[in-house]
Amino acid sequence: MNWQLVTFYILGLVILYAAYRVVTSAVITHAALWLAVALVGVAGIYLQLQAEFLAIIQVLIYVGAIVTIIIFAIMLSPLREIKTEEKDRRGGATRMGRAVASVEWGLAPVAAGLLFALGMTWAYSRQAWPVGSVPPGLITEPLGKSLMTTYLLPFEVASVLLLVAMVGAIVLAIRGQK
Amino acid sequence: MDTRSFIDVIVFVAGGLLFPIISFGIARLLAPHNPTPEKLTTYECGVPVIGDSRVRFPVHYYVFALLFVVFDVETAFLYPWAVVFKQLGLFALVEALIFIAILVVGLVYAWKKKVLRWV
Repeated sequence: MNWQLVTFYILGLVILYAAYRVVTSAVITHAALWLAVALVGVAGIYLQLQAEFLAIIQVLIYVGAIVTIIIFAIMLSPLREIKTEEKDRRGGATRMGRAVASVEWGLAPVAAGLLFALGMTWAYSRQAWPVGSVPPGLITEPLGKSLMTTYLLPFEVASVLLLVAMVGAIVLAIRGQK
Repeated sequence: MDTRSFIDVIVFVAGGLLFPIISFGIARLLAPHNPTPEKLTTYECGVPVIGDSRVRFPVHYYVFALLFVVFDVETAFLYPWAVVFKQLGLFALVEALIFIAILVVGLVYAWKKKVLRWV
């Protein structure tokens, strides 16, 4: 049994289902939480591709920070929830069935997804992105070493960039209060 | 890839999934089920609930979210540093301290501009 393939399919199903719930959830907060599930699934794919640092960054930045800021933005927004589907919220299974059968919630996204998957398979089969062999071992350690020695200046400049972002956010906040 | 080191991760994920499932499952099996309208209301410090939980928060708190994101990205940079810290020693420590010191300037600025007040 090819466990790599099995894991990949499980991750793929989790990501696809979560992504579907992101675009169809009537409650925006739920959509944001489903987005977190989808992003964790993508982190699992990164882990399978031996990019463990990227997987950790995905969880730390995208799930930890970006989803948090999305939920913050929802909490601060006057459009707290989408109201149009309010009456439809009960009766989960039938609503789900109707949603899958309808064009805008079911057929159109599935058709678009299939088209994209076919296009990607076609491009991949034509060797659009040739894959080289990956050196064994974890990548975080060589990455950290080169960040601390060869790329020290970009490392410190990144700190300045973050400082600029922080000061910019503060200045905008102060201006908004006055 | 060194798959052995990722077994720990799988064990953690499995444990994290099983813990709520088992504890909530036991609660469902053992707990008496007798809901009354009072029991089903949201607990809000023991006083009657005022309004919906979906209230709009003051936009002032957005600064806290943005500052959190900045320091979260900082953590992302410190992660590879922590992995090689023992090999590089004092040199790496000074580098990281400079990195953090630059960001502390921003925190001091936020403090001085009084945007960190929890109103």
